[in-house]
Amino acid sequence: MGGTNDKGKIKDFNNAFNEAVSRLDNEACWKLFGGKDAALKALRGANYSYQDLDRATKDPNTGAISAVGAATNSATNPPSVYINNYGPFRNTTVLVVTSSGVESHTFDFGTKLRGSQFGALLLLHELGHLVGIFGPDAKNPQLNRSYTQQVQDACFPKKK
Amino acid sequence: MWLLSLTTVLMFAIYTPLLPVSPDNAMRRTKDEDEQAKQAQASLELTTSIVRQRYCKSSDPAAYNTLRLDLQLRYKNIGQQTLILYRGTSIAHREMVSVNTEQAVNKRYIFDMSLMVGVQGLPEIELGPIPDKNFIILQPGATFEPTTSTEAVLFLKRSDEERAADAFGTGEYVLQVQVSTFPYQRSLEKEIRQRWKASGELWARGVTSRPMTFKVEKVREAVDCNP
Repeated sequence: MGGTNDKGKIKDFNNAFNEAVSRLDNEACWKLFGGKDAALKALRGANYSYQDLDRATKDPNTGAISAVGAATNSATNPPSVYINNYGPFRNTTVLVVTSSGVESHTFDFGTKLRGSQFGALLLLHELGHLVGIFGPDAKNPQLNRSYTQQVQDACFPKKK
Repeated sequence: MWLLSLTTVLMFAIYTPLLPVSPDNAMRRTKDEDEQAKQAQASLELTTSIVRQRYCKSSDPAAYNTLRLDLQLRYKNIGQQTLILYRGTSIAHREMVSVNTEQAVNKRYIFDMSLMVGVQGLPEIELGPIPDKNFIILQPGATFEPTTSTEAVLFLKRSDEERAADAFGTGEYVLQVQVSTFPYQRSLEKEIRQRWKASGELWARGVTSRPMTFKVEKVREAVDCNP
């Protein structure tokens, strides 16, 4: 883990990472990523760091709020996964920049997940980019449900 | 009149170039593919220009400082069909950097970052017979510039001697962004495409901007950019 020496941030990452690994024990989950071994290899093979990506913003015209959770850079070898210091990875209450100042909003990508489970969801979303299923070359991504929804359905099934 | 309320929508749409369908495959085309083929006849060009460039101190001493580029986007309908385009803020979900324009055209990137972007609180769309206020109609040849800029974030080396594969030192580079132009769900896209087809073709695919040069200066004093 790079981009920080903060023990709290490192601990939160490790908890989310371990949660992601354990979710890959579930067949529906590892199948989404093309196999358990491939998924674990890709998850463990990336470089992870906390970085400053975009701040959450509010569109002054529509009121819509957008936030960046994480990102994957596929031009490095191994690929790099960046966790946004300004995003909801560690805390789903994020500060949102508006035209009149800063507001606080809950932002969980509609998942209702919290803590290490939410962090794991973000890491598994990035895993989709790492193994190529969510990559820029993904075929007709708009025909599918959102990537994160796919991850949630496969790896965080609702208890019946 | 129906109002559809959408409070949380994720969007990770990625622009996928469409290939022409061969006659052999034509019979097997699905309804979705027909819609996409129709969109392929339409064409939207995206260019960017820098309205503000800042060097920002990282929020964590161990993280990279960043170059933040506020981009003015400019869409131009370069096809033959009238287009319907969402007028809300366009969000960059992919940033690609090349060493020059030729490399950019050949998709050879030294930085290629896909961002996990979420959007919530989108405005309700009025499902009437014509596009509502959240959309703009672009006649062939017409242009549209969103009133709010789109931000691109790139990492900076602490010094030009630093070995970092994903951070930039002094020099000129070429940036392209992919933006999502329709942040709503697929089911809604289908519905309004049908309802509004008399007004034009709904543009719901992502768009990749034309290569744009930017510069990382030798002297780049980072400041606190947080509000």
